[in-house]
Amino acid sequence: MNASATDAQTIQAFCIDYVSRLTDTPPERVDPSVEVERLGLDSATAVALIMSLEERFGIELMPEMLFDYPTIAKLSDHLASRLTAEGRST
Amino acid sequence: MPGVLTDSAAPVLEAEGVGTISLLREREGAKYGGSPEGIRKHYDLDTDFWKLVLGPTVTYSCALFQGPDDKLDDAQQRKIGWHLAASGAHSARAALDIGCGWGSVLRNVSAIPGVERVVGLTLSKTQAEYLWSQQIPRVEVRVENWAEHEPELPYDSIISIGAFEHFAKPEETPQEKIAVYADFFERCHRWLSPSGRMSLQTMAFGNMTREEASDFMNREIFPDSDLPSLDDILKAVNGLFEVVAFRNDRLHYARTYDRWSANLRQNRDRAVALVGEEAVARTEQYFKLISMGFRMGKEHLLRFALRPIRKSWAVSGADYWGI
Repeated sequence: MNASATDAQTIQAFCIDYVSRLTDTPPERVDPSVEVERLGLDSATAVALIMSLEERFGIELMPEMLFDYPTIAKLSDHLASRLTAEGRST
Repeated sequence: MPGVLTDSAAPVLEAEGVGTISLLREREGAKYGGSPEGIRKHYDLDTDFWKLVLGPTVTYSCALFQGPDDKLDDAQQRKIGWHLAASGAHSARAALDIGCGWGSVLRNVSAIPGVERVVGLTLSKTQAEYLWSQQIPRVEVRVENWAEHEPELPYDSIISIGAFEHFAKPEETPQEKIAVYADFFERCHRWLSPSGRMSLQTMAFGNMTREEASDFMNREIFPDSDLPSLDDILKAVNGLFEVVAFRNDRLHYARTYDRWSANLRQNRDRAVALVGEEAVARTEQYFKLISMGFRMGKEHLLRFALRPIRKSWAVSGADYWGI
């Protein structure tokens, strides 16, 4: 397993755990392949997710990212490749 | 100039608004038309902090981008250019900027050949003191509410960017809000010379009401203020101004806020030294929330070019190619 794939998995697990606690949903029911608004996030909780990702992974994120990468899976892949490009690991 | 300041076509106020306005003025006192406390709470952080975040011209309003790689300063200058054209500033002798902020519009208008006088109104003493210290030629800055402004001579150009957001209060009824806005437009109409023009830029509610906005935004960012809807504005200008041009640039504001977020992050340590961790954290959250809101269409960013409705054929039918 290469570093980038591990990173994407770590980020995805973080997102699923965060959304699970935020929406009071069991983690196994947080589907990473559906759009985040269908997971029960609104603008405030989506911003909370963005800010917690920033803090956890030390990376700057803008809300537009959620419109370019609207699912947890796409978001995690994107962040992992950004972290790899910046020479950082999770 | 006899006649100019009395050429009022104000059916909204004459029909239903005058009683409402005097009652509101009595009830709200100095808060009518814009709460000084609400404004100061939001804007009176250290000017050096806002310079770090907003850039050297301290322009705290939505820019006008040409593309994703456009620089913020260029996009801000393009926005100012749009307003100068929309308000006919290039052929003005006297101009008014309502909600002048840190003076980026004042500086641009003052530099136009032929402009003899520019008046800027703000409710923020921090902004006024900053501008007084700059001594911009031909510019007079006043700490004054538009509802108290009494010009001696008419203006040829009126620009208002990012002030209208603060004119109405959450406790006002929908009819009262529109009456306040109509009072504003009626005054602007009265202050304009016969061929004068006006431009307006404001945030507005999109697919959201104030009740649906977050407590954080209502309490911490826009206390004592309520946003208009497009419909409110159209009702309030009815009979006073015709809408010459209109844009909804909500995605431009999302991008503007994202650029400010990036500036703040890059200068975070200096920002914390200037205003403290709590204010920086609050600003970070606010920028991200509002950027998200603009992306989702909860808030809109409206820009208008307005032409006063006049009884005179010669004025209302004359060519004008500003925008």
